[in-house]
Amino acid sequence: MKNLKLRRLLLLSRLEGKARQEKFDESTTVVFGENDTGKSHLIKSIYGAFGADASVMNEKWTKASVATMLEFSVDGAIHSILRFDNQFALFDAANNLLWTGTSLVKEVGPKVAELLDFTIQLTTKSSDLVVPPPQFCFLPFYQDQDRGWDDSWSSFKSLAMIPNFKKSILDYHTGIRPREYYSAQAQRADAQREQNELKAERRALDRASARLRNGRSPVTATFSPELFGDQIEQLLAELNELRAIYEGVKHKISELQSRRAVLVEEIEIARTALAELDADVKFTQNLSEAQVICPTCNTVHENDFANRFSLISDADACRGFLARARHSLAEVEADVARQMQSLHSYNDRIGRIDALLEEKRGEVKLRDMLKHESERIVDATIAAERAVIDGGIVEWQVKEEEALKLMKAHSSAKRKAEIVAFYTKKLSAFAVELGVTFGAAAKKSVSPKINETGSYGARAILAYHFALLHTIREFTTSCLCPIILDTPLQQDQDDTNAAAIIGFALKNRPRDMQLVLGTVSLHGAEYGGHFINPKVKESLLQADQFDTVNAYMRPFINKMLGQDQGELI
Amino acid sequence: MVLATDLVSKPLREKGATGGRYDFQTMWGLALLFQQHGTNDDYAIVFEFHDDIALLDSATNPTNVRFYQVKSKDTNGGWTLTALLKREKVKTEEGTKEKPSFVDKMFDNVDKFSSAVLSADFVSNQLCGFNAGKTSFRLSACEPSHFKKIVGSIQEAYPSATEAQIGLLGFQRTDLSLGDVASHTKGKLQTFIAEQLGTVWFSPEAVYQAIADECRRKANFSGETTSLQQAIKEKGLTKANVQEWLDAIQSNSRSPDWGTIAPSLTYPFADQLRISQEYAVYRAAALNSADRAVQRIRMRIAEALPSVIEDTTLSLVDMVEKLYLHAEEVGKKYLSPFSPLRLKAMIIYEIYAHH
Repeated sequence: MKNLKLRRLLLLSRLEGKARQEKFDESTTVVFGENDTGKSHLIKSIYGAFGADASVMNEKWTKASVATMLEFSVDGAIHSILRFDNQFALFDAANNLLWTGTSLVKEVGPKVAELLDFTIQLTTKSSDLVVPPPQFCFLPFYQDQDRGWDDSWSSFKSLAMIPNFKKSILDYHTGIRPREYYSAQAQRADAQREQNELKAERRALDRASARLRNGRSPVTATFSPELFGDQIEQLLAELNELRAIYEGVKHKISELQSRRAVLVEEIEIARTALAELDADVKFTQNLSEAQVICPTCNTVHENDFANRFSLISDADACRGFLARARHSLAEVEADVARQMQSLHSYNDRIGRIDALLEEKRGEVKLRDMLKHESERIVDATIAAERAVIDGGIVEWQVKEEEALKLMKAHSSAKRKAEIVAFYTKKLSAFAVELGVTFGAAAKKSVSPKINETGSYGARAILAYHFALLHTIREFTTSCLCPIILDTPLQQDQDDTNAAAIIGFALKNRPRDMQLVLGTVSLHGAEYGGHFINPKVKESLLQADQFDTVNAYMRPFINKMLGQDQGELI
Repeated sequence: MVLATDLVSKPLREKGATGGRYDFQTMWGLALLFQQHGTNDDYAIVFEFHDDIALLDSATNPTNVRFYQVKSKDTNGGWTLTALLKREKVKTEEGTKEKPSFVDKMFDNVDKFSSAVLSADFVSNQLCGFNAGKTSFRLSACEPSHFKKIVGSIQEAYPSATEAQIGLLGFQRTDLSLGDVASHTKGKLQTFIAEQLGTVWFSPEAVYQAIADECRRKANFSGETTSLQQAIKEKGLTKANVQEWLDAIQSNSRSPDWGTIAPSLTYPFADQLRISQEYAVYRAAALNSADRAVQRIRMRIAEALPSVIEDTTLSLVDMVEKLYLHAEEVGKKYLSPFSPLRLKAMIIYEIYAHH
């Protein structure tokens, strides 16, 4: 079991020239502030750094194009993850770049999963077997302000990619089914897919061989080459010569084709360059200023004669390259046509081969005898191929059965009963503490349906959620992640309940697990620990923090963008 | 100093009609420049400045000036004296008015700038009908009866005009052909550059386009000028300008043809053939400054280039291999598809471009 701990969050908007950085306490951090102080942006950015976006994102925040950097530890080993738009990069404690990636499912997800031991593979809507992206890893640990406090499990975006994820993910996190179960399940799915592929191949082979048989004439001739001794010898001689000729022509044409490909590329490149240069020439001609400032990079270019001449001269050179390449292309194409044409002059040889094939001994033509023999060879080849496929299918069947056995071995009824019993005990205790009651059904499964109406509902969800977190803490085979609760007081709670809810969350944090609690106020609950308080309305990021954060983050961003030398951003 | 201030303080004449012939004036100005550059220490040729073209003896502190009225004509037959002295009548609100004749206009500058004027010439592609034997002469050198007519006509408009002053007026026939100004100028330009720079490779087409554009820029300037320096800067061509052109042409080196490079390479034949093809492709790609990927790789190669080139013990192949190691990683990142031989072709290009 691994343990993920947050250390520090840095947010940087170069567009707005503002930034912010905050540290997290080893155990509990309370983020409090009025609505609209950006408390939620800060909270959403934490798992957002890993690519797990909260289901509701503020448009203004998205437009500010904020680069997020999160420093964290996994079992004490410090890492930083950097996200800028859809680019991600992971750094080690010495700030070395470990990897970068842009695709959440293909690159970032598997890397994050590897880091956190999130070793589960599930099937997507389109039947691909994937490591679920980070939002599934963090799912039980995050309650979003907008979507978290109901029974819909939709704190994160893009959860619909995996159908019926709730049961699998909760069974996994709570350890009811340990990670060995899921890797066996993945192996079984793999074995099934391999078998299906082989079966499809076998069907295709059968269809092809059926088609070949249908087209055959019923005449059969015994293969007796001695009857056609002379003809076969002549045939071989003719074929050998013809082959040499064809090989020669083929070789020449392939050389010409590769030359042609280079020329086509050359023409395309020269054409593009020329278009750019012509546009530049025209632009500087119509320009009266002595200096031009590049709109994208702010470089000042002199618009003097030397510069204009150099552009015109480049365009002229380009025109020359283009003309020469076009001329060479025409020549190469004419050469190819000439080579193809040359093949026609060998028609008489083909005629001689035809005549040899038509010669008869008794009732048998040489052509028929050869045809029959080739058919026999084809049949034998197909049969051999089919046997290989059959063998492969059997191999994969064996693997599937092995995987199934493993799955059974790791879904122990005893372990499940033990885990559910622990969970039920916690659920009952928390229900009493928060003044709610659960029906019998809620106690039978770690993924029950919760009645969540009214102010009662929010407390019921909180009780269930903590029961689940305690269960995960006790039994998971995967990773403990920080518990992030954004504003649990969603429905109007009276003062007593409000204090109870905040107090409950602070008091019942499972041991060794980090808690980040977002709330408008503490509602009188006692708390003397670390807190973050974004005071300024509408502006989480601050101009006076920009220089410090920018200076710290820029080398990381440059490393991520592969720009060790020269400044890109 | 007097001329320099007068040139700015005295009002410019109304601008004449401009049209298709305009380019002829501009190109004649360029031809005039070729003539001046070899002989004069300093000069400035200013377009549309008191006359079609004004030639000053200094770009900074001129003391004398020559004026040229450049008029092309596409019908054959020379200029008659009548045509040169004719004052067209135009109707205005205050009644019929006479416009100044060509000769009036030429004399006007002599009158305005008096002793600073060395000459005021009428320049055309056609001959002068009344002195057809000569291509260039002072008006005072033609038949006395003709000259008398001229003096008479000028004195109608400028009663104080003296024969000595009128003697500054002249006529020039230019061999610049109206039908084919461009190719004619191109030829002159090529000769001029060859004289100035010796054997330097340059593209006549590009040089002509750039310089003709430059002249047109100046000739077409339509803004106000408030000082002589500004007038020369915006509308004039000076010795310094020409030096700038020549410098640009000389420093505009071009990567050589493959034939020049091949003998210095010792790669296997098949590789060398492939590099030569890549080189041809890259020559064009390098000119496209909008291709960011290529520019990234160029930057990378350029970093290590000076140190490699300074090492005189290295052969071309050694240099290429050294730079290859330096640029390989960046090349793999930005070249698509990546091929070692393509990167080598790029390196060879950059080595020669650096020289």
